[in-house]
This record gives sequence, structure tokens and C-alpha cells, in this order.
Amino acid sequence: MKIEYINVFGNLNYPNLLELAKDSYLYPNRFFKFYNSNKFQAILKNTSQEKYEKFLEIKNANYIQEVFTFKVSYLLNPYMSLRYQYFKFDNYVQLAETMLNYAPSIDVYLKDLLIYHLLSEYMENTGDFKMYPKIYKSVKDAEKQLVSNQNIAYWNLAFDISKKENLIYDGKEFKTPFEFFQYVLAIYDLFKFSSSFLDDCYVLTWLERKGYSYIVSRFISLCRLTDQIDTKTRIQLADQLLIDLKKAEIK
Amino acid sequence: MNNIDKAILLAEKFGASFTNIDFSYIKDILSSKEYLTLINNVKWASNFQLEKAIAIQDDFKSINYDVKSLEASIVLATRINYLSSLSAENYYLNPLGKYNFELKTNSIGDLMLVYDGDYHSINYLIKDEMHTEGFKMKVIADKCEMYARELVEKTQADIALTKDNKGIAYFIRKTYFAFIIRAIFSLFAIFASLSVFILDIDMFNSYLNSFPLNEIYTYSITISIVASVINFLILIGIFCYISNFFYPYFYFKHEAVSKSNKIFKKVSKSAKNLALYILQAVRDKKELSNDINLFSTSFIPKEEYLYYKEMYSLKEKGLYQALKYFYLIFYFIFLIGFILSLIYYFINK
Repeated sequence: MKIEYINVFGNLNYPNLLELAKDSYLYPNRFFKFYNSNKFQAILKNTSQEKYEKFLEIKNANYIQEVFTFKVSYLLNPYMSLRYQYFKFDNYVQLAETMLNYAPSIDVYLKDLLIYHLLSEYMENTGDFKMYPKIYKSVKDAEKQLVSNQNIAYWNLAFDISKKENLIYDGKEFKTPFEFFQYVLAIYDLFKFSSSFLDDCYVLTWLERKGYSYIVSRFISLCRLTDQIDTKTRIQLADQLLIDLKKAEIK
Repeated sequence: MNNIDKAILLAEKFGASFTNIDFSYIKDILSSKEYLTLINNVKWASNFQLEKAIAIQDDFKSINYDVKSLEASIVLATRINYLSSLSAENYYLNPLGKYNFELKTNSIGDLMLVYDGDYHSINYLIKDEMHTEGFKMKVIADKCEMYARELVEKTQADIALTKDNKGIAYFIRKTYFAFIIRAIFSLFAIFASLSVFILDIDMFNSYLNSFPLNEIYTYSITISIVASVINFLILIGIFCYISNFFYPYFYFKHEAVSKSNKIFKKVSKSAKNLALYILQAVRDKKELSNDINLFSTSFIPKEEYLYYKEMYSLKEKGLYQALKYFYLIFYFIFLIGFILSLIYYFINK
């Protein structure tokens, strides 16, 4: 029997939708276009009415391109390993370690897995939420934490799943805060560190996990207060200047 | 505070050392625009006898410059910025008060008040479109009531410093009591001297008729009469001096009460008119300008209620001290004359 191959683009041909879905993460833009094509919709409708209806639900939900491609690929093949935007993970620890290897930078695609709830959905669909309850709990806790700070939630998830206690920064490993800050205070690293540590929250998250949340929260409060007062003072000095100018004009 | 400071602050909390980073935070803070502004503002605030102006000066005096860590220097810088932002004249000026110097604030509209959780000018309140007139009215009414209360309480406190000052009252009582004791002694001396002219005693008759220069009693009686008269004159001098010195106290005590009642009524009326004036500007949506003195009432002059501090200085006044010493000297001379006369009288009786 002759198998009819499905052509996505160029010489990318797949014998069936299951195999096709496995490569979505390698060519996300191409597959996005393909999933939106009439050709695909016709094939899907012919293969499974149920999946076709679910596909329409996904399409009507107006997800961003990456999330749409992910959801459709897992609609077609729910049991493949975790794959998203050029990343493929055989297990969750690998995901967490990848997140930490990029630290202190946050990979926007890995962050998508959390902020669009793709990771928890994947675990629920594959049944992994029963096989790895602790990891599933970490994912759900991180999703709840997204409301207060997305970056802290991201790093907490990475530390929880990887179970790493040391800080990995620029490929180096540090056991204690003292060790890390001594390293950072070399001028070059200080500039680099200071420009991003408040935004990425990587080191702050690690310090909190090491039991220094009191120090971190005091530090953040002091920073906020001084920034507020600095702004107010500048505004007040400017107002004062305006009043003095007005008075000079009247004279 | 920039991000590098924040990074160093965090590092400091974990014991990291900064051997290759040079700190000049104190120097930077003390030469900053904010600190210089604060110093000028505090100096200017010392011209005002208003609660908030005095509080600014007290806060400035309480700043601790002894910082040994980055965190402490950041807290110091933040405190200086905070004080600097609230130390300008338009934050504490009371438009119901009268000032005998030119103010920096030109208009009631430039005065600051707490509006919607933060400090804003009255002109900002006038122009604001996010709140109802009712909300603004409440803020204005509260502020004008605060202005009136501040002036009334200040006047009451100033009066109480003198009128209810138990220390001064005790001091004045003590001074007059001492005077009365001196007066009693002086009067005794005068009566003793007058007795020469009244009593029918041979010694006195001889003294008055023949004034014998070869008798000791002539000299002793003369000395005691002259000394008692001079002593009495000095006593009068002491009385005039202390009365003159304490006169402002009694004047103020009496006048201040009646003056203050008039002031309280005037202040209350001015506060009400001020509130209506601002409210009208809110309705017309017109910013205020050039009107800072429109609702000034009179102050009791500072000199009138600060003089109470002078009362205790009576003890150090040179003339008063001299009068007391001369009083004693001449009384002593009178006593010598009086005793000698008595001795002669009893010997020759």
C-alpha cells in the first residue's frame, strides 16, 4: 500500500500526523504556517473529527504563535517528550538544568512554558502529574507565584526541579553568598551584575531560598524607598525652581 | 541610589569587602544639591516660629553623620533627600500669619498640602479633575482649620510661657519679698533717725540745739541720720529699678490675655475667608497668584513674649548689684552710728 506523505514545506515530508508533530519544535515558524493552512485542516478533518473540533477551539482562542504551534503539535501527538521552540527535554530535570545554565539570563521560550501554563498542561495530558507529584506541585506553585513576580517564579521552578542548592552564575558555581559577592565585586563583574540583578531576580531568588528572605525584603524596601524619595526630591526641587522663577518674573 | 550602589549594598549585607572600590559617599552627600538646599531651607525656617518650621530645624539637628557602612550612608542620603523635599517654605508657611520680612512664597496657590495621599500644591488641587468638589472642599476646610489651630495654639503657648510660668512668678515674688525685708530695715533706720527729732532726750536735745563737736554722739547721730537717709534713697532706687524691670511682665500678663482673645476671633474669621477664597478658585478653575498676604492676621510681636527669658537676668544686672551693695554699706554705716549712739546713751544715763 502506498503511503501518502504529508508535505509541510520544502522536502519535509511525514507519513502521518504523529510523526509530523514531533518536528514542530524544530521549525516553529513553518509549522505555524502549515497548521493555519487549509491543507492541514482538510487532512485533520479527514483523520479525526474530534481532533479537528479541538483544533478549531485552539485556533479561536487566539494564542500567540509559539503557544498555538505547541498546543496543536500536542493535539496531534500527546505523548511525545517535552518539546518547545528548538528545545527538547527527555525529563524535567533536564529542563530545569537548562534554565539554570542560561542564568542569570531568562530564556523567553522556557519562560513561556510557565507563563502560558504549557508545562502543567503537558504534565496533565501525559499523566506525569501522577508520576511526578512533587514536580507537578512545584509547577503549580510557580504558576501561582507568576502574579507577584514572573522571574522569581521562573527561578524557583528551576531550583525546585533541579534540586540545586548552589548558585550557577556565568558558568561558575558558588556555595555561599559571601563567595558569590566577593567574586562580583571585581569591577567588570560588578557593572554587569548591577545592571540586571534587580530585573532578572536570579540571585535574589537564590538568596531567599538560602534562608535570607528577611535581608532580601529589607534590601528591596530600602531600594524602593530611596528611589521614591529621590524622585520626589527631584520633583520638589524642580517645583521650587519654578516658584522662584515665577517670583522673579513678577518682580 | 544607582544600580551599582544597590549591588554593593546587597554585597555588604553578606560581608563582602570592597578593597578595590573607593567610597566617598559622605563627601558626595554633603556636597549634593539636596543637602545644600536643605541647609538653606533650614536657615530660612529659623525665621519662623511655626511648629513645622521648628520641627524641620529639630530634624536637621538630629541627623547623624557618623556612617560606617554603605547602608547607613544610603539611609543618611535618603533622610537628607526626604527632609530636603519637605523643608521648603511652602510646606510649612501659615498664610494666616503676619511676617515682618519678605516671603519666598508668592501665592496661597503655591502652598503644599496632603491631597490624595501625597503632597501637592493648592493650585494643583484647583486644577485637578480626578476628584469631586466635595472631596476638595473637605481637604480645604481641614487645611484652613489646621492653619487657624496652629496660630491659636502658638499664641496660647507663647502666652503660657510667660503668664503661667511658675518659675518667673516665684522669682518675682522672691525679689519683691527681699525688697520688703530691706524696706523694713530701712524704715527702722528712718524711724530711728526721726526719733532724734521727736524724743525728748537730753542727748538729742543737746545735739539739735548746740551740735557739740567735741562729743562723740554728735558724729554717731549725724552718721546714722545721713546713712539712713541715703539708705532709704537707695531703697527707693532699688524699687524703681525692679519695678521697671518687671513692668513688661505685668503688662504682657494683662494685655496678652485681652489681645489674644481678639486675635483668636480674627484668626478664626480669616481662616473661614481663606477657605471660601480657595473654594471659589476651585469653582472657577482659576489658579491663585500674588495673594500670599491677603489673609494675614497680626502676631503678637516675638519680642513681647520672648522677654520672659530676660527676667532671670536681673541677678546679673550691674546696676542692681551695685544698688544692693550700697544699700548694705550704708545700712552698715547707719548701724555703726546707731550702736555708738546707744552705747553713749546708756553709759551716760
